[in-house]
This record gives sequence, C-alpha cells and structure tokens, in this order.
Amino acid sequence: MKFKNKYIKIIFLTICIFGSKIFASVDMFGYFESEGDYIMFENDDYYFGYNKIRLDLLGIPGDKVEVGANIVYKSFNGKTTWNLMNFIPEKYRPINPLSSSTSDRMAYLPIEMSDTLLLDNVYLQLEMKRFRMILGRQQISSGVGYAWNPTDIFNKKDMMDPTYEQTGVDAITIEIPIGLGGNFTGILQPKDNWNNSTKYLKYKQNIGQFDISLSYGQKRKVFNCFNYFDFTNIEYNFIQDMSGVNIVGEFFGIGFWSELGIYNNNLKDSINFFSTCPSYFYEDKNFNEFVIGLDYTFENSLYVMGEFFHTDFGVAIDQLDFTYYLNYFQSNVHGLSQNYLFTNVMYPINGLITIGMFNIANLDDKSVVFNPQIKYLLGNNLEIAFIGSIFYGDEDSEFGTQNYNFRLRLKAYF
Amino acid sequence: MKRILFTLLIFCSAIFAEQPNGSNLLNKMIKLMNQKNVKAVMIQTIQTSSGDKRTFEYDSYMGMSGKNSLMRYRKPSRVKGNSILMTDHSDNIWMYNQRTRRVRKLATHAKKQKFEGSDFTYEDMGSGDSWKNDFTPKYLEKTKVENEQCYKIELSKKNKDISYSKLICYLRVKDFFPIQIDYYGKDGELLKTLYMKNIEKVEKILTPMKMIMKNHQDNTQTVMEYKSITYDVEFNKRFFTENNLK
Repeated sequence: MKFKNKYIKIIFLTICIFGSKIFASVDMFGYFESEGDYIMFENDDYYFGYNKIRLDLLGIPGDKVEVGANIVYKSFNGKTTWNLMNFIPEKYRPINPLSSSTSDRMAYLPIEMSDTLLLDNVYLQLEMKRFRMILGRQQISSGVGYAWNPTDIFNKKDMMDPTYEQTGVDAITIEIPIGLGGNFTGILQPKDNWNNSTKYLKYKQNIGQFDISLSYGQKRKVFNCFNYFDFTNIEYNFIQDMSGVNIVGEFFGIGFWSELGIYNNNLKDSINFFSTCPSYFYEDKNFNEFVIGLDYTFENSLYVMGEFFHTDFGVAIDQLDFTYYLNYFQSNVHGLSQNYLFTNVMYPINGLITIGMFNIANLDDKSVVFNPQIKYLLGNNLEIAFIGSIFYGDEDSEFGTQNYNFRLRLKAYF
Repeated sequence: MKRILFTLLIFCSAIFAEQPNGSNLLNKMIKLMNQKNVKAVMIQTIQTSSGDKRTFEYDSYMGMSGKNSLMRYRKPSRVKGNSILMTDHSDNIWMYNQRTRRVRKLATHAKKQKFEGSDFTYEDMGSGDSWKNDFTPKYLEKTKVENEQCYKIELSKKNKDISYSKLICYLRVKDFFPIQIDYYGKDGELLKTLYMKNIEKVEKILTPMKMIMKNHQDNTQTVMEYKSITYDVEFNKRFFTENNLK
C-alpha cells in the first residue's frame, strides 16, 4: 500500500486551496544562531562552529486552520570532517584483518558536516469541534524525561543539549480531548507501506497534581552490525514494539517524573556470518528503559534537578565492543552503558543572567562530564550562552576520551 | 430613660457599623479584583536595576474568578507562541514551547519562580481568590495613601506553601478597591510592593489599567498594562486544559 505520495499531494492541494488567504496574512519570524566550539582531546585542539538561520512562516487563514513552515539554513565552519575513531577508546577499535599485529587497529572512520538547506517543518493544523489534526512535517515530542525520553520513538535527543529543538517528522497527528483532563493522541509516520510506517498511540490523563499517560508505538528500527572481515557496516532493520508509561507530578512539594519504555525487537533478518552485532540483536526478551527525575526550586530561585536513566540496550563495561559505539553514535540506542545520572543546578542572578552547571555521569564506567554555563539575555531578542565541558574518567571510559570543550552560542530572534 | 437607652443603642450600632472587619474587607477586595471571566491583551515591561527594559505582550485569559488562567505570548519573537496554563490557583502549571511543541508540567515549587524574569512570580499571577484560604485577615487602621483615605488590612499566612509571611493591603474607603499591596518575606522584610494605577470603570467594573510591582530587594520593577480588556466573555469547559496550550 503506497500512500506517501498521495498523502503529500493532499497536503499540497489543501495548502493551494487555502493559499491565497494564507499568504495574505502570513507571519514571519525566526532566529539567527551562531556557535563556536573549541575542543581538546588526545593533546590536539580543534575549532568548529556553525551559523544557522531559521525562518518561521505562520499563516492563520481562519479560526480553525493554521499553516506553518520553517526554513533552516545551516553552514559549518572550522573543522568539518571528523574521525569518529578519535572518540572511541583504542581498545574498542576494530583490529585490521589484513595485519599480523593485534595492535594494528582501524584508525579512520570519517563523518562530514556539510552545509544544509531544508524545509524543517511544513504542516497544516485543523481545529475541529472534537479533535485537532496536524498534517505534514511537524515537531513531535513525547515523554516527560529531561535528558532522556525512553518512550520517544521519533527523535534522537542530544543529552548535551536536551532542550534543543528537534527536526520535523513527516506525520499525521490526531489529538482528541476526552473529558476534562484526558487526551488521546494518534500519530502515523507513513513510509512505503503499512508495516514499515511508524504508529504511535497515547492516552494522557490529569489526575489531581499528576499527569499519567500510557503509550504504544511500533516502528521499523535500524540497528548496525560490523563486519570485521571487510570492515563494513551492515544495517539490519526489523519491527520494534514499544509500550510506555509516563508519570509527572509531585511528592511533598518536590517535582517528580518517571518514564518507562518496554521494547520488544522482532528480528526477522538472518545475520551475516561475519557480522558482529550488539547482544540485543540475539536476545529474545523485553528491553526496559526508564527515567526517574526529581526537581525543586528554593525560595531564592535556586533550581536543582536530578534524573537517573537506565537502559537494557546499554552494556556492562566488560562486554563493550565497537558495535555498541557504532549504534550509540548513530543514536540507535539511548545509552552506551546501562546507568546514567543527569544533574542540573541553575540560579538566576537577575532577570538577565543565569548561571548553572549540568553534569552527566556514566555510573557504570565512573566517567563524568561537568558543564558549567552562563546565559545572558542582551535585551528582548538576543541571548548569549557560554558552556564549558570538563571531561573526567579513565581513557577507556565514555567521557574520558576527551579533555575539555568550550562552546559560545549567540542567538538573535527576529 | 427610654430616650437615653434608644440614643445609646443608635450610637452603639453606629460605632459597630463603622468598625471595619478584616474578613469583610478582604472579601470585598477579592470580589472586586477577581471577576468571573476576563480576556485581555497585556503589555509587561520589566525594568532592571541598571535601567534596561524588556517588553512582552501576551493574550491573557482568566476564568472561574482567577482560579484558572492561560497566557499566550505575542511578543517578543524569542517567546512568541509560548504559553502558560495555570489551574487551581497555580497549583498546576503547564508550559508550552512553541518551537519544540513540547508541553512541560511544573511542580508547585515552580510557583516561586519569576514569571519570565519579571518581579511577578507564578504564584502572584495565579493567586485569584485563594487569599481567603491562604491568609488570615486583620483590620489595622484607616490611613492616607496618595491622598486617598484607605483601610489598611494585614493578611497573615496560614497556608505553609505560600511564599510570603504577610501582605499589607490598602483599600480605598470609597469603593474598597486596593491601591497598594506590600509583600513581606519570612523574616518580616519588605520584598515587593504592588501599586494599582489608573483605576477606571471598564464595562462598569473597576479596573487598574496599570499595575507596578516594585522589588525592594533587587531594585527592579515590572509594569503591567492592559492594551485591551473585556469581562464579557465565556469560556467553554475545555478552554483551560492542556489541549488548548498549543
């Protein structure tokens, strides 16, 4: 059943029908963002950065219709080609099969940052009496976790920058309010056929000071294995089911949230004899991921929060190999190891300056990255952020491969 | 003798009728300040101690006499489309970020946070008619504020979740409308003062067209002005729900 082209045609036709009205009252806004990073590891230092402009277009041709689009242009500067192997401890790098020495390991695996111009979101939102429908490329965010979202099957979140906007997802979303505090959400991300399409259902209910939601999702998931014989990466894809629960509320005045995702992999493909895959390829069991978080704001506006994350897709450090890094760097899994802790402290010095520090600790290999930061609001529409990263851990650990990193980000809204 | 008793009775009843009662004054003030439904466009200007100004414009909706409120930013571009929903006198707060399309539920401790860095906290914005339950009122005296004869009442905290130890309110004698409210901290220090200015009748309802919150600790102030306001509005039962944040 091929319906993706038909689906795009329907959106295009609808936009054309409403076109004349939309463009008569289109609202344009957006931002310019410039970032420079200085990074040091293995006694080498590098500069890299980017300039990005995002233009938001919003048309409201009627009470019940909204049409939006975001155009994003991003250009990279400084170092734009990276060797992924620099971020992987030497003992986990694959050994060259043509070499007689076991110390002759694969040394180069490049990734290229190239300039991009894209239509990040383009959607049509219809407000009906009993439901809301959003058609097109749209931002989808699910889950209550801050740094990790085990129930989010659409996005790849960067735990070093967890609140940054996600790229749009081509989808059809229906939201149906039920009663006063209930809400049902259904999302379909169409692919070339029904089996390969991503489906997601969620029911959320407000009960007193708690929001509780149950969700189910199914998607065609890609995992990577590595062929040590010819040094190639092999992709395997299969249907993955996710059942999830989210709770957010408070206990005794302390903010509390928890998110649980239970994953089941239905691997059908036979694995190449020479491939080495992560253990979650072979095990026929449920894989659990969960987040538990707490936060509190003191009388003086000091904000503290902590979030613990566990994933069964992570692995104990004595079983770690290159394939786990491969899947982790491609964001196929949420963690390299099994247990992580994210902590954050923020204090507004005044209405314009906020200082803070967030830290991410890998509790299994005892490595950590400390990220002191300062944010300064230079007027209504200009903000500057400085974030430092200090890495600590053994050289074989997740955060121990780097030394430090400094990031300066300027964002001007218009 | 009968005449003396009658005169005494009249005199006593006049005295007791004149004697203001803290509870009555608080009720009258709350009734004036919290209309059933309000729809407005507000301009909020935050002035820092160095004199820098930041201006926000947002749509404001209030229902059930201030129990529920919804605010949606129009300006500046940095926050355009973001919205905040507060229900049950800001015991439940949801924030919506337009750029990430993400809704986040905040715990009640977030009430103490400053509203967009202003001198108003979420608690100040969403208190509505909850003062009846949160404070014990006491009439203090009649006094003059800005050439207006006022009743001075003290509201002492009785709900431990409230950030302020007490409030001192100055209500105009002529119509019980408050023109000044002092907010005190845990140690009795004066934190902030709210001034109600340009009090006009809008749809026959007394309305402070300008409110100034002065922060005595940080030496900053926030001015809130109505760009437009109407009380003649009805909200459907799903208006103040998370679904309407987007």
